[in-house]
Amino acid sequence: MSHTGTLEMETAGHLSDEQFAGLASGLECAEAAAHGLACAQCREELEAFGGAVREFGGAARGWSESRSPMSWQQQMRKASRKQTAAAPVSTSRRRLVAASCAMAAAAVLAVGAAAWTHREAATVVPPTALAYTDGHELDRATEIAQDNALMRDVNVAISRDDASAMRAYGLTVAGRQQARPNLEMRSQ
Amino acid sequence: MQMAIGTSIIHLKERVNAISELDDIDELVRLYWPRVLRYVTFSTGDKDLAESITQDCFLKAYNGRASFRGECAVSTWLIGIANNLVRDQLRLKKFQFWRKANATSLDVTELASFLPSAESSPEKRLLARERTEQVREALEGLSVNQRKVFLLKFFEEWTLDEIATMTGMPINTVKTHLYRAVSAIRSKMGER
Repeated sequence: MSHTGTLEMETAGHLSDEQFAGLASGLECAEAAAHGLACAQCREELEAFGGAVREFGGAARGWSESRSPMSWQQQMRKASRKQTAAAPVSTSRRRLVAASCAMAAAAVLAVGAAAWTHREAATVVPPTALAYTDGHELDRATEIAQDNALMRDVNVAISRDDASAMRAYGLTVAGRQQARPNLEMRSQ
Repeated sequence: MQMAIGTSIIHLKERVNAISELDDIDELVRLYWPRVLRYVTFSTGDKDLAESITQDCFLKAYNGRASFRGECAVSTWLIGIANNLVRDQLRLKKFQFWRKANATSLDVTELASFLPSAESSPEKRLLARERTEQVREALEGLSVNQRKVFLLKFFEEWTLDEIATMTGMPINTVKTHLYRAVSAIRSKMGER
């Protein structure tokens, strides 16, 4: 850069844009600095540039210092209002969301477990139903036993040899036996 | 050996101070608010937006203070956060529209009222005001990166290394932006 800078200065007689920028920014180049000191026009331009920028910077500093910030409490209140309106990113909010998700997951598990239990219970015969079935079976067996006892009594009654009555009507024993119904016993 | 230990102890103390500085949010705001606000205002060209971004910047810094390792100055860290916020804002397309339609740019009259009072004569004050307006206009004509680098160098007086850290640009890129910005402003000032 310094070599090119020297050539440029020699050709044009004044600082190039790059040299000017370097000097104005305080990034000194020996040849440019020497020229800046020696050449009245370049020096004047450098001073004008530096002066304008300094003035502007001073005014900007004064302005920004006059814009006293709100107290942090006020800022936090303003920020929380803003966060309510926009998407939240705070840690506490994240924790709340995580807790909500966990609670929702727990609720789903609880409902699922209840549904599963209910389903299992529906397929297994409940003890009361079993008791009812046993009782019912018992009643039925008793009923059959009673029926059979009745049939036996009937068979016994009709199987008695009532000779007087048969004789009175002229019936034979063989015919009588054929005419008699054979009541069968009920089986379970 | 003792010197090395002494240096590392000093460095450690600086880091501890910087980290504890972040815990006192009111002091943090008091110290750095004007600097961040000024930088953001002239970066975006919108003072209302700048207030909002500056506030976000301090909120982010305070909420993320645990991630600050004290490897740079607090102000450097804050400007880095502000830079990211400005960049995000400038990327928004709707901002591009509203910026043109509704930007609350800093009025030169407002700015000129903060010019040094040494410019006592009305003529000098008028000239100073005109120069301020020239610089403001020239700044608006710069690209975003040129403006950032120029502001950080000339108004905040940071070194090129520090600017490179804050903006995440290589130092040669910083230098190029700076030179172009100076040339553009010089050229704008020479127009009148």
